[in-house]
Amino acid sequence: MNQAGVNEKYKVSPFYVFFLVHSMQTGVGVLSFQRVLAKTTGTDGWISILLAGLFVHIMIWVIYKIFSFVPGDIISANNQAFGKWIGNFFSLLFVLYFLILGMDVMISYINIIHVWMFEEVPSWAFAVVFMVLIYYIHTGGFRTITGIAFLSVLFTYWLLFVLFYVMKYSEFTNLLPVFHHTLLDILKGTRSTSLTLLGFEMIVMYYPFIKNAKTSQKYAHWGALTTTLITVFVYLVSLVFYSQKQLELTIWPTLSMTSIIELPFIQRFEYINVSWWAIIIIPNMTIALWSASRGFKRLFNVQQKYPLWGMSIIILLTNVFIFDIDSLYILNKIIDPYGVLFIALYLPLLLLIIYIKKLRKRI
Amino acid sequence: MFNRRTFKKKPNQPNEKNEKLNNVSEVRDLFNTLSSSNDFINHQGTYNGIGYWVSFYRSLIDAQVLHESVLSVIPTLETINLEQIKENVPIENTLITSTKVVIEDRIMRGEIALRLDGNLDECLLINVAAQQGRQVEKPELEFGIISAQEAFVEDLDINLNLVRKRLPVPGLQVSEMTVGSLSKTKVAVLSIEGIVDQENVDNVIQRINDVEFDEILDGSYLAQMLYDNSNTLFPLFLNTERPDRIASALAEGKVALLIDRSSSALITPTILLEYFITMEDYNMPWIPASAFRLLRIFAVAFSIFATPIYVAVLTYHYELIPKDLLETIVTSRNLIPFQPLIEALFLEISIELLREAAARLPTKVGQTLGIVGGIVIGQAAVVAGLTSNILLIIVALSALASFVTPIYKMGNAIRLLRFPFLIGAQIWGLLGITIAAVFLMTHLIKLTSMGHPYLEPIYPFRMQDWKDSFVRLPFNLFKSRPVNLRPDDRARQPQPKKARIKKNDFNE
Repeated sequence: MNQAGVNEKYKVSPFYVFFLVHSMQTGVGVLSFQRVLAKTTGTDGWISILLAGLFVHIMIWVIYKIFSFVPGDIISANNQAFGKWIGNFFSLLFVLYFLILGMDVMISYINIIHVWMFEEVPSWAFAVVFMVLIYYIHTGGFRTITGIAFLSVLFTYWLLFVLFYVMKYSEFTNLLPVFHHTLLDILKGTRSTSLTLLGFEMIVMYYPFIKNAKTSQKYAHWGALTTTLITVFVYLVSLVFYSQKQLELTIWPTLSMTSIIELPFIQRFEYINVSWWAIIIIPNMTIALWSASRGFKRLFNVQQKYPLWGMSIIILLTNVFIFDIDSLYILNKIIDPYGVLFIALYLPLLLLIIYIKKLRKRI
Repeated sequence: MFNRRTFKKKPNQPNEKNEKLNNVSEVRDLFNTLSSSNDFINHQGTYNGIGYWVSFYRSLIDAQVLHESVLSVIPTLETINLEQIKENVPIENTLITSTKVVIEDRIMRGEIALRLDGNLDECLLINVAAQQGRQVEKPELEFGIISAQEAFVEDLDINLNLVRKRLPVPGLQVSEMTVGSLSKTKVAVLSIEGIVDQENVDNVIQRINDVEFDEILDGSYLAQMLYDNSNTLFPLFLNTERPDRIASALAEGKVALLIDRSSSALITPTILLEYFITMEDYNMPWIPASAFRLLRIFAVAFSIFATPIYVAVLTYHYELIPKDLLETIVTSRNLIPFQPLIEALFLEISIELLREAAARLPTKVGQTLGIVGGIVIGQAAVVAGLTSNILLIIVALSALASFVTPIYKMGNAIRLLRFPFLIGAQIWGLLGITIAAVFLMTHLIKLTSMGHPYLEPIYPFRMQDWKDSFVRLPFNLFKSRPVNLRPDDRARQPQPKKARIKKNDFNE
């Protein structure tokens, strides 16, 4: 088994963890989470998002706690906790999860392109271009991936200000009533936002690539906090812009909102928004597939490009043979209950086992 | 294998006599070979019954110096031998030797060899090389309105002098070496000791030593061989003809390369934003300087994206345009039989043709060509219904914008970058442009110049280096040298001076 040790020159500063976490969390979820949330919790949805955010913070704390006992990545932690065979089995589950997450993001985005821009272009054509781009980014190593995540956050922040334009047409009484729903509804809502806030868990793979990794915890928390607040903001703006019924019927409320923007030389802003969203989506896919291929590399001791090729072929075949709405439905189902539960239950368990092992050794 | 053989031969010292004999024939051999060229002169003279030979390349030496300082000295002596001539000739750095390699090298650089009949193997070498070349003139490629009007010339020593006059400190170190098996080009690596990161200098010298090529004719030639990654459009070494630019780069802790017989010097390591800096930015107050710099960077973005966006919008997303504006565009396009891409490519390529032709033509013809090409062809194309007015404006503006970059090579890169974006726009509209942009971003992140990231200070993000990137902040904020270069001495100012004026909110 090779060690998780990473050469110092390939590491990135702890400060970039903010961008890695934040850019990985914001993705397709932000465009469409409002509908489900509005159905279950309505005007109290923002409480659900804050709860989900709190949950993310706890998970980040758990991850950093695990690595304070076992420096390295999730694979070495698994091996430490469960031994070689069972540990590798769980690591394989993680690799699969990362792959499915990456696939899910890509297919969701291709679906959006199909609906909003190019309905007749086959989805595999987009998948090929994205895979070539992702491969090109991967050849630069983790430093390049961090750079892409960093620049993507830098270049897309202005989209947030577009929402202020939308607020011209807002009806603030839509925010009321507050605390109208039962706790159970709010918790249900929390589960439905999980897809939006997912992505922080990639830390378990790139932790060894961070200089003075322990000091990066605060940046991870800041990243997660920023995502949570942006999500709350987007939800509140959608609440005041749409009526409750409308929001429940709109599939991509964030995109539909921006289409009303009109400047002297630009109309139909959603075209720009959808194309620009590629800059947000690409780091998502890149980090997820990098984590998957890196995990595969560590497990089976192969060069990282081979698993990447394999994954490209899997993704391509999925895009060729399954219509994207169907595959999207399946992937979302895998991630939403199973993936989230896996992350939420497994990581604390891992921490517990490692903690107990550590205690016993000390005694 | 070959090395070993030569190594074994060398310690063969016992046969000193034998070697001497070899030596003898070698020097004579050398002069015989050289004489076969018609511009090699073997002048024979006698003084006091002792015959002497003066041998040189007619084309390399300054005849006047030869007459005044060497030949006229000989009759003033009582007896002639090489030592005595050496002492009396008023020229420095003369040498008496009988080593073939040295003699050959020096004669080829414009020295004369003086031999006496008594021992035809011993030469006195005197430097009378002709200093031909042009005078220091105004910079043409990087002209500045309010900056110094001196540019490098082709002579290494004059260029060194131009730099040294701007940095009269002993720390300025020059290490010279020769590259090119045929051209024997002299390359001087300049750096300021105590400021520069010595690793950078060593790396540059190492890479120059690794160059194996016969003919190095220009700085750009050499630069391409020293690049970290040669598969890129972007210049990784900045070549400049301005001595002040070299001086300021050296002061920041960079390494400069001066190449003999080339009027462009090289700076390394560089960052992307450096290519949009002119020396004038430092001669102006910081507000206009920053404004113009931002204008330049905007021009670059405009130059890359304007035509692709036109193609993307008119091919796929004409809904983006409000209906009043759409009317204008549609009227200007309703007679055009082509797709926007063909239209754009037609104009882009004709502009590139104009540029390329203008670069090759003499100035006077070039002006006519500009008028013919720019106005006549452009207008005719519109009237003939091949392109639309609006596109003509966009293409002309983006061509103009690409010439705003102070470094010509960067302008080239930007002009070429437009074409992949055009293709992206034609395939998937705005999405295609975005994807091409991410490709470009990745490429820029991956690029390094002498091992230093090219996109610094954007990524890796370094706040301290932003003072002189997109904007140029006032000089009192220039407290440290660029972090990127890891200079040995970080501080540019001894200590931040405390404000002497009493602090007061307003002047009363």
